[in-house]
Amino acid sequence: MQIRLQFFDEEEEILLLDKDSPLRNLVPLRTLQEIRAAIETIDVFTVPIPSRSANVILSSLRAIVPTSLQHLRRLVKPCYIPDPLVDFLAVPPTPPEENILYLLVCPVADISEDNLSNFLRELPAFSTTGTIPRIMTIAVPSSQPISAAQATEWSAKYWPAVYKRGNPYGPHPSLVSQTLRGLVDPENHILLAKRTAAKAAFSGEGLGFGAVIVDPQTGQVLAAAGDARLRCNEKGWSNPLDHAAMRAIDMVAQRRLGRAQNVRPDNKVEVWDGIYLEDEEASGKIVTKVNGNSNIKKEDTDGDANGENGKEADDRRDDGYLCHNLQVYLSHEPCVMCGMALLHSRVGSVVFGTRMTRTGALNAEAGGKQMGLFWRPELNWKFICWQWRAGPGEEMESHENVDA
Amino acid sequence: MQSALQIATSALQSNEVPVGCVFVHGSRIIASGRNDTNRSLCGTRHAELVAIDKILATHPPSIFKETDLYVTVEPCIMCASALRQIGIRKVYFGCSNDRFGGCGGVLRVHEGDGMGDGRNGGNGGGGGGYEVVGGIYSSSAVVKLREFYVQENGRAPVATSKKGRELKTDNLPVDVDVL
Ligand SMILES: [Zn+2]
Ligand SMILES: [Zn+2]
Repeated sequence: MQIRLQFFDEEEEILLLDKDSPLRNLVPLRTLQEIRAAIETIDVFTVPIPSRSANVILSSLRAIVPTSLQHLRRLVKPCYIPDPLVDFLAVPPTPPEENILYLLVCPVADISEDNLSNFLRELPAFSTTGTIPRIMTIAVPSSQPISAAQATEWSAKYWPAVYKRGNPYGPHPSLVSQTLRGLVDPENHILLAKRTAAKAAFSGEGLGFGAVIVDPQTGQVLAAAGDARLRCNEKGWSNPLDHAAMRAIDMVAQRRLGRAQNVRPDNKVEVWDGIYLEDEEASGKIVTKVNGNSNIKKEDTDGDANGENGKEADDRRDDGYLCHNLQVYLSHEPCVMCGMALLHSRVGSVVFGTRMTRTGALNAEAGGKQMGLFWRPELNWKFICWQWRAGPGEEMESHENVDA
Repeated sequence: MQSALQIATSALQSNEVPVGCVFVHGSRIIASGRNDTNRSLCGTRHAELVAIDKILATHPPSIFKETDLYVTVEPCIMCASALRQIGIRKVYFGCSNDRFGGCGGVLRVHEGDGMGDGRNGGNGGGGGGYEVVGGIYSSSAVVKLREFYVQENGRAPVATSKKGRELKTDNLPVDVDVL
């Protein structure tokens, strides 16, 4: 039972959600690297050994092969051998199981099978009888699991695995939990995004896509925009790039820029609810920080040649730097243009409704573009991303071949 | 490309990241654009999107299928996708963009199937791909970016040796944020 108990000890960090919590509808997206890590396996040797000799064998082994694969249990009782391996390893039935353990020797690249046989033959445990245990090769995950849940999955499928806190392939689980807890009323904001989408489609000015941007420090909606790619100008044509997310980002900027200037001089930007920041400042309604510094510290700090007058913008308006750490709610997974626009705008988190398998830029799972744009090591900004699971009857029209 | 470089210079004078572009239809420049992110407080106002707005004010979107873009720096992932969605014919760029490039620098958004980093076959939205030609007056484009870097750093009291602040043209990796 001890092995099992240890698994649970390492799982403690998981955010416990209430059975009826709306946050249960939020499915975190896996990063491209997490997905790749999850499917890469490596061949290793395993042998059954007498449990009473385990310590001696382990210390002798240390002298001939380097220690690796620390995310996998080195010694495993027969009862914890994953079901798919039981027949292959010819695991004996209970009760004699108590007397043997399965040793995960090392990757096959680290020692030849002949050398391993010779090593075993010379061990006191086998030299007396002259017979050595059967050496078997199995495939195990080559990199560490990214969550306790994945460790449990691997333990049932490949080999008992250990989850160590931390995640080299994506956001740290505690960062995900913290950001999840910081989402401001996601249920209503995703609903607003969907309603905005429906309105855009109904007006005939755009397709049924909608975007909402929320300031987590005040809970205020800063922008809500529908797709407008079908909206004709006075000349009689439309702008195919007037996507919901782009328009919402423009609205946030216009709100900050004030009436005197246009964010897009050649394509006037509306302001959500007619609210300019200058009005609020004039009326003394200056927004103050509610929950102190909720800004997420990202692993990568920006290079020193950022190329933007970040400092100046910050001086002008505290925290008014682009869409820094704002929350974005989208009816649909955004296209590559909009996805990158969100990164350029430094948003903190994104929740979207319908997955766009053909055009969506955020998802990294198989069956789509597998771009995983929200968290890529080569880009200098990352955000945390969830898909909002639609309830029955809540699904939106997907327009699956269209860039949302 | 000379015109695009001049426009990049004007961006530099306005403390914007010096990226400039021109859209050419027939043999005529129909619009130019320069980076405008700092003035507009909007992270998406890149040279290409600024110019596209100007074109659409007077021309229908169908003009893009006979229009070529000349831009001093490789379009970023966002702009590369935008160019694909409006159906640009061809893109000529100066230096490549190792941090955000969508035409080979980081991802290959311009390529045929529209499936992002080009690992997948099949069908993507946003129309077909477009041809790109990079490396035109590449070093001039880099010089501008380096000038911006020096200009920005010049504002802060940074103790750098004279030598360290010289413009390096051989050093291609572009270290600026908004392109
Ligand atoms: Zn889009
Ligand atoms: Zn761009």
